[in-house]
Amino acid sequence: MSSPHVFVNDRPQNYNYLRDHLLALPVALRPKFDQLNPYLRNNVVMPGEVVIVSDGPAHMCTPEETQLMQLAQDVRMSMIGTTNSEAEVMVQNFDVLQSILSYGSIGIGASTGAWSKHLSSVEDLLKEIETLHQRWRSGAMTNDQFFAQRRTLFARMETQLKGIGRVGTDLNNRGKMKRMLGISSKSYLHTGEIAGYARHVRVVSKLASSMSKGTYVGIALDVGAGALEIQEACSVGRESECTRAKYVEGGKTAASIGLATVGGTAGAYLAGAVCIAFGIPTGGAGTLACAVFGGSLGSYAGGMAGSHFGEQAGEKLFEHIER
Amino acid sequence: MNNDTSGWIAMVMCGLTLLNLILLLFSAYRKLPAAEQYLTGCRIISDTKRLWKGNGPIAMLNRLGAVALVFTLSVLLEKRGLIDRNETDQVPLSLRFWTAGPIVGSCMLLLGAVSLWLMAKIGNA
Repeated sequence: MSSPHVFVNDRPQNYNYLRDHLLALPVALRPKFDQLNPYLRNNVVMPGEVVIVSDGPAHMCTPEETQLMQLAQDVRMSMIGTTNSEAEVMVQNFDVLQSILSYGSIGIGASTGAWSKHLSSVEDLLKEIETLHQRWRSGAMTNDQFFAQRRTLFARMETQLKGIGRVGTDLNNRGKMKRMLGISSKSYLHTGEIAGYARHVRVVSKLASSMSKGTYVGIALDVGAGALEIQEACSVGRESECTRAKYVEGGKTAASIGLATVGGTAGAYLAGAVCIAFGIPTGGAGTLACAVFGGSLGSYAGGMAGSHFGEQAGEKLFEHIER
Repeated sequence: MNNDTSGWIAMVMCGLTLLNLILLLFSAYRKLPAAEQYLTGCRIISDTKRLWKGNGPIAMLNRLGAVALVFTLSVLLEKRGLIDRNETDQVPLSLRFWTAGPIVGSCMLLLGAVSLWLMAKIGNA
């Protein structure tokens, strides 16, 4: 019997279509597929969800299959509240984040979390601009008031989008803010909507939301990967190997997540201190870049060191307790 | 370094990490709100609060870092016009210790852990 396989679904698709046509599973293997993927059955399979395929007997699950089912459920739970499109963005960007992910899931949180906050504030500004246009159109304010307030909002937006602050907002550098947002007072009066505004808000909110989910998916996968290592040692090795794997892999996962959290916090603080010392002003993309850079570097280094110490501490505990 | 020594060092590092995490979370959830109330006029605090809304651990830890910056780099921040010294002077010493202490501790722990890990890597090479 071959071992089960897993893959991460990359786009929304019907469960039955996935099973019968894309995977083209023979009729005999379908009950097993249904048994391994109970949470997906008869639903739309969302991007990011883990799908398990095995050609083992349908009447029982191997320990490895049970472990994979647990992993799939953990990933599914960590994605609750994520829409299809958000999950799709996350899956499409996952390979970029994966190298950081394997050393410390919190690194994702420290870096993408900060960026998603930045994107949220851009989204808030876009909404403020839209509200301002609506108030002006309904006659609640004079032209002078409208143009003065819009100038202030555009100035704030320009600060937010300086340099790397533009990344992920879908707003390219095309000159004036009005052109970037596709705003024309004339066309607004005719159509009643800001051209491109809705699209920008959709892209920004989608990215912000999917990025902030990265931490929890990362942690679920980290813990799942550790559990799979234990499972593998227990299925192929002796009993002592299995027990040793529990200590070592458990220690590695716990210490890497713990030290990555500590490292991310320390990194953001140290980077903040360095940026202030060099006179980078607070607020806007400059400070955010400091926090993103410091936080990710700190959590990456902390995750790597934590993995090393966790492994050694696990070995030590195993020797003292089990031998 | 033999295996026995490095095993004990790893145990100590894991213990310190756990202790530091507990202290960080205690400070973030128990001490930070009080400290932020004293520093309502500091721009660096209001900017950070606006960026890190909510009560999630990542947001709270980042805000704790900003408060720690105020207490550890007050002279520099005052020069840049980012804090009001009258406000920071009003914060009780114990509150400053509780907010800045765990962050400074986490920096020392990170530097120590990364140095030891690099030494171990060089030793193995």
